[in-house]
Amino acid sequence: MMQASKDAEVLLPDRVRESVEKPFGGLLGDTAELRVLEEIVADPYTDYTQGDLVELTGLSDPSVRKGIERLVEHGIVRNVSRVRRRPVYRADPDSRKLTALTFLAYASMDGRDGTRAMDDAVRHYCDRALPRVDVITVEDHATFVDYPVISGLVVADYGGQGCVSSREA
Amino acid sequence: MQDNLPERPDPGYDGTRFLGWLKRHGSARSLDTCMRKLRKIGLDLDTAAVEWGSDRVRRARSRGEAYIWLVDSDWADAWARHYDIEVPHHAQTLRTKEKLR
Repeated sequence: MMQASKDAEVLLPDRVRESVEKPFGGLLGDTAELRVLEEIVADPYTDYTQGDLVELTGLSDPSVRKGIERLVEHGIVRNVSRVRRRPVYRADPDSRKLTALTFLAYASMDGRDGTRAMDDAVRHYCDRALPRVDVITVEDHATFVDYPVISGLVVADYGGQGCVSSREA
Repeated sequence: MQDNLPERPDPGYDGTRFLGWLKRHGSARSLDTCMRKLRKIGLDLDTAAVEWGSDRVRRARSRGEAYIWLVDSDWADAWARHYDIEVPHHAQTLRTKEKLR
C-alpha cells in the first residue's frame, strides 16, 4: 500500500498530529457537528450522502444527521437530491460562511507552520470572486462627487481618487 | 499558455481536490481516512503517490498510526489556484449553471 512513499516513511511531527486531531486545530473545540463541518469545508466540491459523512468522520448516523441539519440551517449545504428518501448534500459556493471557514482552515495551519496560505487564498479569492475595482485619478474630483452613479458603475470618493467598480461580479 | 502552468506533476482536478481536502484538514490525515476519501474520489493511492513523489506527499507515522502528509503545500496550492478550487466562491456556482445549460 502506497509503496513508493512507504520507502520514505517519516515521523509525523507532534505539532501536526495534535492539530489534525481536532477540527480547525481545536480552536472551536471538538464536537461531532464541527467534524461534519470541517469535512464539508475540506472538500466543498463533492456531493455527500449521510453515509459518506459517517464513513469519512467515523461518527454515528444520528451525530452526522444533526450536523447536517445545522449546516442546512445555516445555508452552508443544501439537499440536491430529487429523491426525498435519499438526500444528497452539496456545499453552496454562494455561502459566505463556507468561504470564511475555508480561510479559517488555512489560518489554522498558518498559525502552526508559520506559512501564509490564508493570505494567498484571500488574494486568489479577490482575483476570482470579487468585482473588479479600477482606481483612476480624476482631475475634477467634484464631478464624481456630483454624479456618484454613472451608467451602472459605482463611483466612490476615495481620498481624491475615483474608485470605479462594476456592480457585476 | 503552457508557461503559466504550475510546477509539474499535474495532480489533475480530482487529485487537486484530494490535496486540498488534505490541506484543509491540517495537511495530514490517517491513512485509512485517506483511502476512504480517495475511493470516493475515484483515485488510487499507489498510483497517485508514485506520480506525485514522496517529496510532495508522503507516508508518515505517529504513535503507531500511519498518516498521509502533504509536505509540499506550495505545489498543491498552485494547482488548486490553477483549477480554481482553493476557495469556494459564487463564480463557481455561475460556472456550474452555465455547464448545465
